[in-house]
Amino acid sequence: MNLVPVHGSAALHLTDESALILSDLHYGVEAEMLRGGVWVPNRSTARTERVLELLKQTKSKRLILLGDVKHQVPHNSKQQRTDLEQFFMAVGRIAKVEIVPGNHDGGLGDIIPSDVKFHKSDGFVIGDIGMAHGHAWPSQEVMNSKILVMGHEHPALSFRDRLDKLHSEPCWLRAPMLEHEKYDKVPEQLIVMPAFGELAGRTMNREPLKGLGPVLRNGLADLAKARVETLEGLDFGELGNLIDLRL
Amino acid sequence: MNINQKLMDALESRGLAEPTLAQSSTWPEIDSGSNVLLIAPTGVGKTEAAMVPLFHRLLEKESKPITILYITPLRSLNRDMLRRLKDIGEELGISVAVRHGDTSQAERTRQSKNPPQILITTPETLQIMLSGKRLRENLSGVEAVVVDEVHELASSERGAQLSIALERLTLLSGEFQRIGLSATIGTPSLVSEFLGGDREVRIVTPELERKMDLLVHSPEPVSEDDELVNELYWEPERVAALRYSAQASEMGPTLLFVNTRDTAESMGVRWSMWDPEASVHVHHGSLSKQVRIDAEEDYRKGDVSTLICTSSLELGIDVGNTALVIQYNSPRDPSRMSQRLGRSGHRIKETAIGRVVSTDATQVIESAVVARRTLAGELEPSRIRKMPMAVLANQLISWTVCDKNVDKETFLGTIKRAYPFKDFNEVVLDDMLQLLDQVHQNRTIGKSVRQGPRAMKYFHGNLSLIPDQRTFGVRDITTQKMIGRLDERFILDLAPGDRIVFRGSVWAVVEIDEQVTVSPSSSLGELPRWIGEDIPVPFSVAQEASQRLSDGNWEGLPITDEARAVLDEYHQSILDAGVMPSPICLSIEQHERLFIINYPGGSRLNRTIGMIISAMLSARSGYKVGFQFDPYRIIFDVPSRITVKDMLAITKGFEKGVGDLLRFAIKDSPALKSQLLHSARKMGAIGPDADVNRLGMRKLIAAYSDTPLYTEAVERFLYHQLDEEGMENFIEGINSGEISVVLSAKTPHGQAGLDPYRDYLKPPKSDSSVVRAVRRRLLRTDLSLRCLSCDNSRKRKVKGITDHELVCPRCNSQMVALLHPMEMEREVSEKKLLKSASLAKSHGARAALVIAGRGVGPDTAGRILRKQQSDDSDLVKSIIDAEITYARTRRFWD
Repeated sequence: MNLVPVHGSAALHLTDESALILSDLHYGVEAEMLRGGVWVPNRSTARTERVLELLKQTKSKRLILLGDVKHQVPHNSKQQRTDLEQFFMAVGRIAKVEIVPGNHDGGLGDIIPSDVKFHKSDGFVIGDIGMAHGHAWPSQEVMNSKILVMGHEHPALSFRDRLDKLHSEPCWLRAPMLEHEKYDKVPEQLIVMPAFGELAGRTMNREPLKGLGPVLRNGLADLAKARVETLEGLDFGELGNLIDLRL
Repeated sequence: MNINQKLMDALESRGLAEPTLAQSSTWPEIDSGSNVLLIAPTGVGKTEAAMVPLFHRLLEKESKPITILYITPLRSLNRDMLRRLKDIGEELGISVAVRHGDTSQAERTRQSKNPPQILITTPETLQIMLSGKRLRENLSGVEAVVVDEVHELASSERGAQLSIALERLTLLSGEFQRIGLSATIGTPSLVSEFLGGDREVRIVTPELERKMDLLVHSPEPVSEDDELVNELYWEPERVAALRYSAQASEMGPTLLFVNTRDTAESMGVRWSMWDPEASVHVHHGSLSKQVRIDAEEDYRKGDVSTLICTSSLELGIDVGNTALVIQYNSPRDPSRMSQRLGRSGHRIKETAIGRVVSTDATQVIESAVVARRTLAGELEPSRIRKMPMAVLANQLISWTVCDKNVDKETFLGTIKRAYPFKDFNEVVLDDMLQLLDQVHQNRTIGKSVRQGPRAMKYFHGNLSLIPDQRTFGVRDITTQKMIGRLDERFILDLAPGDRIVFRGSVWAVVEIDEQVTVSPSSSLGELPRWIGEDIPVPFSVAQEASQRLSDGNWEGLPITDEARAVLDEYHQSILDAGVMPSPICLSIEQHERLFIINYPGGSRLNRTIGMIISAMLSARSGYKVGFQFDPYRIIFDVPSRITVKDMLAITKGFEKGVGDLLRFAIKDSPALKSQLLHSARKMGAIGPDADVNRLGMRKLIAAYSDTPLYTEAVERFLYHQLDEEGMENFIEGINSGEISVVLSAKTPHGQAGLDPYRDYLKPPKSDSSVVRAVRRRLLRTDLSLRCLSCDNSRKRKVKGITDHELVCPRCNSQMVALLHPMEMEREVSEKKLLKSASLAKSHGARAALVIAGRGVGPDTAGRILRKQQSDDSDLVKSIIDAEITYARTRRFWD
């Protein structure tokens, strides 16, 4: 199995399967913010174009979305529906789409075209790779894989530049997994995907980390040993050494 | 002009029959129906100058109410003026009413049903009135609008909003007469254009015989003041200024103006400490409305003879007859001095007497230049920003809410007539309508514009364009306690990592979001930012002050001989030490790690220079380079690898066309946050009650970076805080050699820029003179030592109290209470004695020092002693704080 991060993007390329993996697109986030009284420019069209570009670039035939394709729950706005319809129409033309639903995807089934494949929310397996969104416990079947790929956490790294300006960048997390009583067996490695949506991002190198999904919350991965890399592939080393880095 | 007999009688019975010059020259102009701008100082009867001919017209001619609108920017309306108008109106049978934010619903309803002939209101309330169906009907009768304090409004966003509102009013009522009342200003024509839009306006500037007597003092400390220094914890110079003010105020009712709220407070406390009988009140914007009104009333009635006040008392509030205006240290801007001086000799034809009392040479020279310009009437030109986009958005949204459906042609034709928008055109309109459509505030369909789904909420949340007077909580990260609040504008320039002086201590800024998180900073020697209110000093004042200082030319300056001597000495001391800076000579001094550029650019230009150089230094060195500025110098805190040669090279190597660099520096500056919030709120992107915290400012800035909200935020900051044109001229001056750039040894001129920071720059062991003096006083204080077991009583000076003395010589008990002489006069409770004795037992001689403080009882002493004090001087500082608290609260206890 060959799992390659696409340089500069929050995307994985599963070369053997000619599949592109994305997570946490959060279509409709702009509409939700507007409901809260804050307008931001709607970037869904640009987001969709980025996905199309990646599909083209990697020549992928499958598009695997690891949850939180949409954003608004429980309210669903017209704007969000329009944004999603445009997205599915565009990507449906060039790829076969599969979704593992996340915690924001309630009601998504009513919007998506019938040819999109819906997996169960406790994940699914391709070869020796298990995939899940990450808001719920993955199935034992998923945990039997060698590698677990999930989203949900929106990992980002915060740091100060030479001029003392605070920056925050989405990042990859790759952590060794640890045994847990809930499972007979766990994968060797966990890959947490950065969010594909622009407004998402949670600083991982500042404690305490709250609101994590069950896998990280219950210590199934050794976060201190997690490798932190930016989308450009800049290796920041282990997360344990980056905690509260002059923040 | 022939005045209606009834009106004449009413004026006569009030002693107003003989018109003042301002009135006699204005009446015929207004009577003729022209638009009129009356420019005159305070206290010449401007209100009557405008209103008498209007009363006359109401008596002579039938009209449909509301006939006259009187718009004043003050929320706390001039109560006295109101009383006068109502009183005259009643006698003449003319109805006069007021409507503003606090007017009751019942009164509003009454006004809608039965509109008054004259309505006094504010710009914001006019916005509301343009939305009501019945009110619009009432407004259709308007024949004249009086705009009070029009000079204040003209340069603000409130004014730009009003300028469009008046055009909208024209659509309802047809053309009406416009009458503006203005204080003395530098550019009458600009303000008249603001008042009239594209209409003709007659400017009336009566040749008034208003005599001004203005003089700058620099009282020299006398030996008596040395004693006061350690009683009041103030430097001798400030004590001398206080003594001078107290003496001068014996002349009669006195307004003592200071520049900051903090100064007002500390001046008030000192004055009462020094003279508990003094009849003094403090008046500033942070005090509650009721406290302020009481202070004004007490002063007007003569119950209190001196008001210590800030700009809160500058405008038309009528506080009665003032004999003298004292300005403590430089007024900074001639317009301000003129306004403040106008409060004196308020009675028509009296001489206005003002005194500026300055505490050091830098204050004297600036005060003297400002005073000279005030007397000569050389005031700064008004600045009116062209096409403020946030205001345009505000009015487009409000308009569609009020009128439901507005034609694009109407927008174009109407808005263009308002002066700030005279370059308004279809491209600007279309761009703005497109944005407003996106943010769901308007809907444009073809030529017709309607309100969007968010517009109603926006309208009621954004009647006012006064920037939200937001304050930020400041939290100490180590204790998680709130330690105070900071006005938004002080946060403009702050960045994480900066060190600030706040509440008398140095803090490092950790994070700025909806609150400022700080941690105590121990590292001295770095340049902390001074957090205080500062009135900008104009370029012209800074240039003249510098020119005169370099020439040693005091001719024509209204100063005392004492002040002249102070200037002579300062002039000579700079010459003796190094290069004398001037408008044509920029000098660079190195003070340890700090570089000081001496150049008299005034506040806005020097901030601009600082921003540019700091951006260039940061790029070159790879480290953040902080800067501080005042009107005469810019101070840089540079990393060690930057040498004075680099500084010289950068300063000499400027190239023209810094606009892009400047905009880049602004985008990178934390200053932009609050500007962006303002423009995003006023342009309808962020709702009135939205919680911005949830997303975080950083993401919001990123999300807005390609939008017009961002451009407006940058341009607004540039216009109000910086001086792009001045920067280009400055660079031209350097490139052409007109301004020479030279290195200099340390001079008192450069040093003067560091004075505000001196307490924080020096290592802690060298105490300020205040701390030294207080410690001396404490050590000399006699304390009583009373044994708790055998009642043996002794007296000792604090200096002589050692651990040995804290054991009773008669019975060897270790429970010996320390008592302040003040306590001895009263009966001291057992409990107090016990507490004092246990403090002495556990803290030894340190306890004696603390208890020697005035009003420091055992409880307070315990609190002070338990606190971590790094050394003795910290301990003394805590005692000083406690004594000041005592002095401040004692008034309520006695």
